[in-house]
This record gives sequence, C-alpha cells and structure tokens, in this order.
Amino acid sequence: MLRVEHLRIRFRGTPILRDLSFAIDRGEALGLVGESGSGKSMAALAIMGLLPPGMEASGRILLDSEDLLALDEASLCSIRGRRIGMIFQEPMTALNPVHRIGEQIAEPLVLHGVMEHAEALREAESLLERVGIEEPCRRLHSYPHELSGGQRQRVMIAMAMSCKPALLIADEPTSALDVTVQSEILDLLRDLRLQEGMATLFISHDLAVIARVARHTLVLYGGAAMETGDTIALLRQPRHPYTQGLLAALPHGRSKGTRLQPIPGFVPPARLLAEGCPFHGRCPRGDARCAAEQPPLTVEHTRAWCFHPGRVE
Amino acid sequence: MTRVLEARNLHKSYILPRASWWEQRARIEAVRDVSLHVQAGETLGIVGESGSGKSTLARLLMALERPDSGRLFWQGEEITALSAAELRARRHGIQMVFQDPYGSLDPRMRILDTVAEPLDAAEPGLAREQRRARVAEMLERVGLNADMLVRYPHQFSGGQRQRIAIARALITRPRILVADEPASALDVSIQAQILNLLSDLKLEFGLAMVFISHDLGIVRYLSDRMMVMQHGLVVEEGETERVFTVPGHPYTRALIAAMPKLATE
Repeated sequence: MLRVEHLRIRFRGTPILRDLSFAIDRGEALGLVGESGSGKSMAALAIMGLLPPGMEASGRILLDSEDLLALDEASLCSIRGRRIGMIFQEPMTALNPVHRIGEQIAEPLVLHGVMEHAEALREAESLLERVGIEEPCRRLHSYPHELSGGQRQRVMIAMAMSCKPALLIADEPTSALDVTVQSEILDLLRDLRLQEGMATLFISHDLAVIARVARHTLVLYGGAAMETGDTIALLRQPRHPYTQGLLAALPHGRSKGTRLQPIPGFVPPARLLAEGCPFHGRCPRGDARCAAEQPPLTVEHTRAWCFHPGRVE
Repeated sequence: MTRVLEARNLHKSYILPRASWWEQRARIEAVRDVSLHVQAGETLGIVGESGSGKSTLARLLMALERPDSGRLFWQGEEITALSAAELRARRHGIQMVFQDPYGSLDPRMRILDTVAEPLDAAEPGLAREQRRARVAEMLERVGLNADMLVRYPHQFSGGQRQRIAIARALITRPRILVADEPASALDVSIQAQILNLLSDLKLEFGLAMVFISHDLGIVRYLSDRMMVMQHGLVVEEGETERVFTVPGHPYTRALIAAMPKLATE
C-alpha cells in the first residue's frame, strides 16, 4: 500500500532524514518511534507533501505505486484528505473553532467531489456515530470548544476517515489525552483500521503506546533508521544499542529502588551529528568506524543498522 | 518521624463564569476534603487525570492559594491563617518544580541570577562571591557545569533547563519539594536523568517530596506512598506497591488497566 524507498531530506546541506525505507501493507500498522529531533514527524510531512520550504527531498514515496514525491501541488491536494487521512496530537489546532463540526467533517467529502452537501452531512452523522460520539445528530451542530479533548480527537478521526483513505497517518494522536481516554482512542483506531483495511503509520515517542497498536516498529534516531522488526521481538530482545538504551531508561514495575540507566548526553543539533551513525557519541559501543561509515544492515530476529549489534552485556 | 508537610480536610471550589445571563453560576469542587502528610525522605505520589484536582492541590500545599476550609502545616507549624509576609518568610522551606521548565525561567536572566533568586530572598545579606559559590555548587549537584553560570535559558536543552529549575528550587535547602509533572515534557532518555537526580536528592537532603503525575509508571518508580484522585476526591491511598498490585477502588483498577504496557513486562 505505502512503500517509502531511500527517502532523504536535506535542509541547507544538512541531512534531516538519511536514506529511510519502509513499507506498510493494507490493514497493517507500522509504529514509528523516536525522540524529539529523530525526524519522525518530518517523514510524515514528506509523505503528505507538506515539507516546510527549503527542505529538499529525494527518493520515492509510493502510494499504490504512484510516486508522491513526483507529484505537483494540485495533484497532492487531491490526494491529501482523500487517499491519505491525518490526525495530530492537538485536535484544537486542526479543527476550525468557528465552524460547526458537522460542516467540518462534511467538507472533505464535498471538496473532493465524493458527494453533495446534504448527503455529506448525513455521512458526517454516521461517521460521528462510528467514532463513538453520543447523540451524533445533535453533535453535528456543536462547535469544537464545546467538546472534551477526547471527543475532539474522535471528531478528527471522523474527518480523517470520511473519504475512506488508503493510508492513515497518526502523529502522537493520544499524547495529550488522559490514560483512560487514550486507551479508548487506541481501541477505536485499531477497530477502524481492521474494518476499513487502511494502512496506518502510527508515530509516537512512547514505546508502550506503539506496543499496543503496531505489529511492526521502526526506531529512528537523528534522522536515520536504527532498528526495525516485529514489535514484540524488538522490545523483548532489541539488538541495537539505541533501542536497548531507550528501554533501559524507562521506569517499569521491576525497576523500583534501582537506578534508571539514562542515555548519556542529549540529542545534538542535526548539523553536529556524525557522518556515519548519528547515535555515535552517545553509544556505549561506538568506535571510530561508527563515526565515519554508514552502519551496515544486520538481520536476525530484527533488522538493525549497526556495526556492533547484539545483546546487552 | 516528623511530618514535614501535613494537610487536614482541605476544600477548594471555584465559581465558573456563567454560560448565559439566565444560567446559575456553576461551582466546581476542585479539591474535596483532602488530607495528607509527608515525612522527611519520603515521596508521596499523586496520580489523577485532567480535572482531578491534583494541580489545585499542589497550589494549596504551596500556599499559592488559600483553601476554603481545612488546615495546612509546614514543618509542624500551622500556616493556614498566616499573612502573605509571614508566608514569604517561610517559603524557603518549601519549593516547587513545574512541568515546563522554560515557562518558569526568565529568558532575560542569566542562570546565575535565576538560580540565586530564592537565595536572595532567604539570605539577603549574602556576599557576592559566596552567592556565586553556592549557585555553582548547586549546579554541580544537579549535573551542570559551573561555567554555565553566565548563560541564558535559551542556550540549554530541555533536560538541562529542568535541571536548572531543580537547582533553583533546592538552593535554599528546602525540606519539601512539590513536583508537578517535572519529567513529562522531556524525552525518555533525559527523563531518566531527571528521575535519578530526584531520587539522589531525596536521599542526600532527606527531602520530603510530593510528586504529581499522570504517568503511573513514573509514580510507581519514584514514590513510597501514593494517592489516586478523581473529581477532587482521594479515591484511594496507600503504599505504592500495594496500590499497584491490589488496587482497591474501581477507578484505580481502570487507570492501571488503561496504562499502556511494554510487551516485555
């Protein structure tokens, strides 16, 4: 469904994304994990054709074998919202505060010529019902500020789903929500993905959230892929030092009374990252070769781009 | 052990602006009959979702707001009815760290002056060299270099800024630290540095800590006892491990069930 091949993004000569490749099948979800500055949101913007000015992308982004990077803005407009649905962390910034939510859900349907206005409003009502909004008929006339955070995120999902997109991009969709609401929204996204057969790209900094929604995970750091594979295998036996570092830094039930193991240092600005592996400098196993050369892909139960993959000593 | 911080039956309600002329003004009971106590070296975790009243409770404990009723004790002394000036004289003993360190640091002030500000209030006569030495020592304690003294907040990363905020909170050697989501805005790798720092400081200074968070994993890791709040009420409290392993209240059970877990656990 979605196939990203050798995606590179540069900004004034500085690499922001380094040779990223991944694919998502129909009805599957891929979790994209990374800390701030990892390039995870930049990858999403590239897929949607919404890169900020000055960013130069190369490679291919194939949606149903059509290369999105080769399309002009007009063609992208007809794809965005229709074949690619998007939901973001803060629904309030994506919803228009002065329009009733029924009109906002109906808008993409009318805009993309899927249906007439009256029909689109009826469709909006049934969408609201599907995303679990009570009294959908009455809620059509509500304004965004009259809804709770969880309800707004449900409305965003209804909007994203309206044109039955082939691909759904969810960028930190539950990070601003309470845990009980988060749990409901994650269940809703899973149900809709299975019913509609959408491919879903699920972006989060939270490994535990990814573990709940995605069968496959890709870990990014400094714009480069570190490790990818089956989510459970990746979390149980990570082979890349960065994935291992992320897991060791998280408090969990058994870590009480012990010291957490933070990853030393902090993420440097993109222009100061090593030519070779961007994790070089914070990596416990890094050496001179890691700084200079692109790490090779090593394949076992996960795929890791590393000169020194393997278990934690 | 002495109770460094104690609250008895705190109540706080707010009146909401009315939605229209004909409506009654709605009243929100933000904190309802909350009692708690913390001893030296002990951490009390408070969890709850948005609207549970946990941040209002933090402001009441800090005496940044007055309760409608109830009594508050700092280091054994009742401070409920004290005047603003009397409170100010006692504030060096209780400090607070917030979620967003950038919001609590003045962008135009050097780190030296930002960290020294509470010290200036507590010990106004301090000589310049001594003041500088105390700040440098505190920065070192939280893992920052003394040569950062003359820099400004924007020159630091998020994790470093939170360290600066913690240094500022601890410079007067308070007995009580109230931390409201201190690690929530930080990346995982940096969050671990801050949590380690807080556990070290707790041991070293015998700090009593009230740790407020929506993140159950962090509260479990850091706190000895915990309280679960919902709609302004404490619905459950007890030893942290007991609450996690045998939660008594249905809401606590729902929270724990909703918490996303790693497949490895």
